[in-house]
Amino acid sequence: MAGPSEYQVALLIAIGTVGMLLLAIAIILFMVFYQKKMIQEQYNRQVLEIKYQQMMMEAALESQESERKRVAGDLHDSVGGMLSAIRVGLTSLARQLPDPLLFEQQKRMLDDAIGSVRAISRDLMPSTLEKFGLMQAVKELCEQYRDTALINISFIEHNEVSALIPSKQLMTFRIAQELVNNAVKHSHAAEIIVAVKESNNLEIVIEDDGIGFDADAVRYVKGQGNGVGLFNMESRVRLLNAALVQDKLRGKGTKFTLTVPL
Amino acid sequence: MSLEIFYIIFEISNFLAIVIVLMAFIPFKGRNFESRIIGVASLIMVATYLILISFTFHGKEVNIPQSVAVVLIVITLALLYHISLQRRYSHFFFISTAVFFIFSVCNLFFWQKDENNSYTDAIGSFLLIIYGIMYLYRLLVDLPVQQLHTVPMFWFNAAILIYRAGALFLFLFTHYLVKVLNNDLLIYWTFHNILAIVHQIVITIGLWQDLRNTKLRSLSPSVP
Repeated sequence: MAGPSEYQVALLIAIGTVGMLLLAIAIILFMVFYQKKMIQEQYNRQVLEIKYQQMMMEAALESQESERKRVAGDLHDSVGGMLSAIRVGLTSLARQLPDPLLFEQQKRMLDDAIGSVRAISRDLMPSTLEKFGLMQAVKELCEQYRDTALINISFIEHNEVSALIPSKQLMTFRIAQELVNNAVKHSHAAEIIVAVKESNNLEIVIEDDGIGFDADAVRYVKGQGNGVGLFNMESRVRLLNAALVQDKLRGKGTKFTLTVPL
Repeated sequence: MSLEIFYIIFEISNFLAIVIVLMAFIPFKGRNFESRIIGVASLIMVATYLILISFTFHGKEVNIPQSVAVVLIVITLALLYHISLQRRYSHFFFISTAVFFIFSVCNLFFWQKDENNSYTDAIGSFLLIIYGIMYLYRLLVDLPVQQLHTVPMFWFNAAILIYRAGALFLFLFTHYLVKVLNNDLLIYWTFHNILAIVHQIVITIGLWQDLRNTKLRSLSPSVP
C-alpha cells in the first residue's frame, strides 16, 4: 500500500509524463501550423513582389512607348516638315535657274532623307495601329519587310479579329514586330508566314523556313545585347498575361505562337 | 494489468522495430540517408533484444547489453540530427555527445552498475529532446519544403520527441519505481511500451514517406 509521499511521487510521475507528452505533441502541432502560416506569408510576399515588379515593368514600357511616340511625332512634324519645306524651296530655286536639272541629285537625296525620316517615325509609332488597328498594322509591317528585305512574307488572316484596348494592342504589335524582325534579320529564311486567328484568344503564329534557333540558348548566352529583344518580348508577354511558345519539335526553321487573352 | 498483456505489447513493439529495420534497408536507389540511420538505431534495438533473450536462455541476467544499446542508440540519433541539421552546431553535438558518453560509462561502472541504467536513458532522452527542438527550429527558419509531411525526417523527429518526452519522467524515476512503487511498475512500463509502439508507428510512416518520395523521384526527377 503506497503512503502519502509515495502517492505524491506516483502522481508526479504521471503528471510529468503526461505533461511532457502533451508538450511534445503541442510543439509538433504548433510547428506544423506555424510553418504553414510562414509559408503562406512567404507566398503572399512573393506575390506582392511580382506585382510590384510587373507595375515597374509596365511603367517602364509605358514611358518607353510615350517617348517613342514623342520622338516619332517630333521627327515627322518637325524634322520631316523642315525637310519638306527645304525641298519646296529647292524646287522653286531650281525653277529660277537656267538649268533646273542642276539640283536633281540634291533633290533626290532630300527625298531619300524625307523617306527615311518617315520610315523611322513609322517604325517608332505606326500610325496605322492607332487608325486601323492591330491587324492592319501587322499586315503593313509584313508589306514593308516584303518591299525592303526582299523576303517572301505572307500575311494570313484566318478570321475577323476583335479590337483590343490600345495598350494591349500596342504591346501585342511590339511582340509581333520583334518576332518578324528577328526572323528577317537572323533566320536567313526564304519565306516567312504570319498568321492571325481568333477563337477564344487572339493567336498570332510567326514561322519561317530559316536556320532556326533556340530561344533558351540565346537567353543564357551572355554578350553584348544578347537576348534584350527576347527579354522585352517576355516582359510584354507577362504584362499581357499572354503566352509565347516556341515549337521546338520543328525540324527546320522557327515557329512562335503568341496567344493573347481577349 | 496482467503480465500477459504487458508481454504482448512488448512483443508488438519489437515486431515493429523489425519492420522498421526491413523498411529502412530496402535497397532502392536514392534512398534518404536519414532512413538508413534510423534503420541502424532500430537494428541496435532488435539486436539487443535478441542478445537479452539469449542471455536469459542461458540463465544470465546482465544489464550490459541494454546499457550499451542505449548509448549506441543515442549516439546514432545524435548523428542523425547532426546530418539533418546540415552539420551545423558541430561543437555542440560533439561536446554534448561526449559528455553523455562519459556520463553513461560512469553510470554503468559506478552509479547503476547492477541495475537498469535509467539515468543514462534519462540524460539521453533529454539530449534528444533538445536536438529535436533544434531541428524543429531550423525547419521554421529555413522553410525547406511546403508540405512538411513529405519530409521523412519530420516524422522521425516527431516520433523521437513524443517517445523521449513521454518516457523522460519514467526514466528519471525508474530507480524509485523499482525500489518503492514496485506494484505499479507493470502499469508504468506498459505505458512506456505503448509509447514505444507509437514511436515505431510514426517512424514507419516516415519510412513509408521516404519510399514514396524515392518512387516519385524515379518517375519524375524534378521531385525534391
